[in-house]
Amino acid sequence: MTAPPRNPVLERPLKVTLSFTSSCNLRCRHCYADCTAAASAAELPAAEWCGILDRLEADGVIGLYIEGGEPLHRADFLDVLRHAAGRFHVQLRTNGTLVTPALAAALKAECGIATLLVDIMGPDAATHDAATGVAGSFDLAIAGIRAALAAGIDTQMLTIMTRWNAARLQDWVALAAGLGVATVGILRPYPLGRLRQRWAEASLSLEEMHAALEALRLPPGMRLMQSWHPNNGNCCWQTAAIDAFGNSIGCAYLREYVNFGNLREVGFLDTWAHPLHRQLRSGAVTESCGDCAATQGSHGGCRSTAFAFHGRWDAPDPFDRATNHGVDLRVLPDRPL
Amino acid sequence: MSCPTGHYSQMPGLRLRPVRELGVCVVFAPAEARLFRLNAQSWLALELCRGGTTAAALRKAWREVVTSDDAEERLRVALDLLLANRLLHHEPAPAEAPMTAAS
Ligand code: SF4
Repeated sequence: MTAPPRNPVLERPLKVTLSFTSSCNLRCRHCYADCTAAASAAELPAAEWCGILDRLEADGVIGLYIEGGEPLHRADFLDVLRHAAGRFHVQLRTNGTLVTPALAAALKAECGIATLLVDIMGPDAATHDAATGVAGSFDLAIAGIRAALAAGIDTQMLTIMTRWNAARLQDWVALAAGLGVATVGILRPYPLGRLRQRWAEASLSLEEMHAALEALRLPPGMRLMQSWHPNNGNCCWQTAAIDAFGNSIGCAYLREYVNFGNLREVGFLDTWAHPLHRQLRSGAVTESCGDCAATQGSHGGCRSTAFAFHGRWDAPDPFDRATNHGVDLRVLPDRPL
Repeated sequence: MSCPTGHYSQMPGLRLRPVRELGVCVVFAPAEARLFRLNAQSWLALELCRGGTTAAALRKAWREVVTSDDAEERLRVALDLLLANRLLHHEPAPAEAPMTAAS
């Protein structure tokens, strides 16, 4: 009998996602964090974030992926980013609306960020602003991308594929090309936060998702990041995440399902050693897609979507063709969290 | 094939994060805002250049660890990769310093 495949084992994480705030200046209907306009008083202040960064560095973390909410919406965010400068490889995900030329210059020169990832939900103001709930947000976000590119920041465009934008993805690609964005990412939707409330309206079937991807024609030189088969990665093996309140949650997409402890009370590496965190990283799953495991170096597909549809941590990932087995992604099981 | 000469040192500010479980070292280069994943030999060469070293001392230290017949070639490959990615700084020996217009 052959041993079941397992993911690579990391004793300490290399990269951590920081969900810096649950506040935002937009009101996206697809928001996973269910953001509010004002930051909660319970969110970690900058000084505590800086203390956490010091501990993460000592624990061997070398890369940060920072998202929100909208990180730039909190006035003290740049203090934290400057604290990370020169010590961590930083990727910053933003809605782009607050990225002025002056801010872009600071992100480059003072904060030394590696990559800016900007969410653009459609190719024009009508599609994007309908998603964000704020008129004018498209124009501001596009201005933000232009400012970041002009400042010399590696700037990428992201979108979440939904029924609201799937038919417009080719135009979205053309928009990116016209801006001079060389790398774009089309992300699967996750049934979290406000998108969970509108899942039936927003989600496509797996076949519709693949049809939209396969119809895309990329201009020469453009790189597309997408995580459907045969790129259905299980990144759990190397991922850790901390939410705006200091909770260690494994991955931003696990935010509604797990809490391995609050860093105000327990050490980060203690949460990394939590039995469920270990289990999710291990690749202990009942079924895996061989093609995706071969391309991604880990196997089992996303644990967040597997859990959302099956309610089991070792379930197959229904977003993968090989392990979908007839699950209709438009129908979210009614399961208490 | 030319032997390494001169003086080698790590670029300032590098952060090395060994990942012994995978036999690699991840390096953060702040000047480039980039991460590099080094195999064991490039990692060894970079470690041996910590604090700066002459080529002679580097070759000696390398030979103590890498004992295969092609050890010199492996060192050269590792140094070329580290130099190409600007993880190492190389100071040529005086005799091999490039001629300037005034000289
Ligand atoms: S839950 Fe999904 S996205 Fe998150 S780390 Fe695991 S596989 Fe990756």
